[in-house]
Amino acid sequence: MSDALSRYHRAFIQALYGEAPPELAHLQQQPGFAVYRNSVLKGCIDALQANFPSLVSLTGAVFFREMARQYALVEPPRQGELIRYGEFFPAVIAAYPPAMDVLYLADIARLDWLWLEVFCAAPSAGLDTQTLVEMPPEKLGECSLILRDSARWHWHASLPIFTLWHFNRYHTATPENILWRGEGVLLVMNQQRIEASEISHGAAIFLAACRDGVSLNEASERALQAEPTLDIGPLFTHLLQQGVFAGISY
Amino acid sequence: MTTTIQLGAGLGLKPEHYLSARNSSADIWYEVHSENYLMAGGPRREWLAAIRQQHAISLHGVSLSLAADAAPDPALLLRLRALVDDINPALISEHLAWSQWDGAYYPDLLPVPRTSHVLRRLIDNINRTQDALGRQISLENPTHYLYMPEHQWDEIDFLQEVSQATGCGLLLDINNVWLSAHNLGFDAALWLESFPADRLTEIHLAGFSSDEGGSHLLIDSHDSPISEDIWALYQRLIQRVGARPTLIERDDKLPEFVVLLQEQQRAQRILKTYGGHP
Repeated sequence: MSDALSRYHRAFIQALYGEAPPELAHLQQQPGFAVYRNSVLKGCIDALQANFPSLVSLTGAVFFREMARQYALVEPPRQGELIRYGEFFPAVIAAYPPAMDVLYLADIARLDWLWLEVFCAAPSAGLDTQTLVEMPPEKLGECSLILRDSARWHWHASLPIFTLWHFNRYHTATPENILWRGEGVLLVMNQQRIEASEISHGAAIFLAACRDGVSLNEASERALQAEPTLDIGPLFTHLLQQGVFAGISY
Repeated sequence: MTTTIQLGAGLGLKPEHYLSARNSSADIWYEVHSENYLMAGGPRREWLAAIRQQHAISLHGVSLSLAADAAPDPALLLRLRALVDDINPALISEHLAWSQWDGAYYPDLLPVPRTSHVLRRLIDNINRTQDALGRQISLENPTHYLYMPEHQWDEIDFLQEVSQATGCGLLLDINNVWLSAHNLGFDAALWLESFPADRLTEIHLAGFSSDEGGSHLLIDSHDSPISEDIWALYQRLIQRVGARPTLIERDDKLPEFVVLLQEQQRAQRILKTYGGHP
């Protein structure tokens, strides 16, 4: 590394973000410098707009782009793979004063982020259900189920995040009556399509327990503790049908 | 020797056009931004693999930051290598620019002064890249928006020196030359006359726009049809150097696939009519 070139990089970045390093005054005073400044910021904002489409739909592009601009100014991308940009956006939105009144905004952002994680996940085969069928029921409870890389979920205790996220993401009709209660969302990649389904609190706890590697018995117990009315059988069938599991560990 | 591949004219590929691209006639090749396909799996990688079965692919990178005063990110090179091994692209290219510094990425092609130090750094970074990928890459000339008194090298001499020292090819973006000539005040046709034909592996053609900021500058926005001035320069270049793989680039305000296809066919006709005798 040469001091001069490294200093130039640092000064150039300072100038991009509105400072006035004296050694770059001759560049900064040219109209061309603004082209770089605008392109870098626009590149960040465009990437966030592409990565968080439900949020754009919910807030409108003008509000979104200002929120994204504020984020981009403090949190530039870490890498050129811009589909990975915005990891901390949901957390920053939660503390963004103009959005504070809209309680569900950060969770909608979180769901868009999880959607991207599923979209980019490594390919994996689903669990062969025949393995389960052939297993003695008394042994099944001692096993733990391994989740696929392409499964994500999120639960909110008091907000209907599935309903709000789903119609903004897929541009379906706005629901006539939104029930303001807790909802969860399960996202799974199946045959190159991301399937979104609503899940309950117990289901989210069950999935988290599976991720922790506990036995099926223990996972069911935790789920029932969180949601005593949960019917484990149909939940298990739903998760199997959604292709959430990759394998079984004895 | 620089590798020359007679691919004809190709198109930049965007997800909106996957289906049309896969079903189009087999003599078209497609270029994608490598960074959009680095993920381990998922629909994008599946689409690229499906299109690759019918068409040649060129991988065009935007974030290796070859002109930065630091080596390219080894983790990124490893992931690029995996993509190269998977896709077996006909061409691989990057830019004479920097965009990555101190752990952050700035999504643009930022300029450097053409000094001897930058030249050595660029040569080292291209060598590292070609070693990591096990392939020749091509280096693209950038659009210029700034007068830099720090330049020690003429641009063409600089490109030629890098290419000879590393064995890399040169990707000539005629749009970038036209815009730089307008922005900095030189003659694009004269500049192109002295471009080293023996290093030329690929050509880019694209549209541009005026500066929304109101300055005299023209911006490399890739959001409009290719201008007649660019077509004329392109034809003259092909008459001089012979046919070279030529890409129609469109990254914004994407029209229907068929509209881009018309530009691709126009380039193809120029290659066929004027590209026979270098």
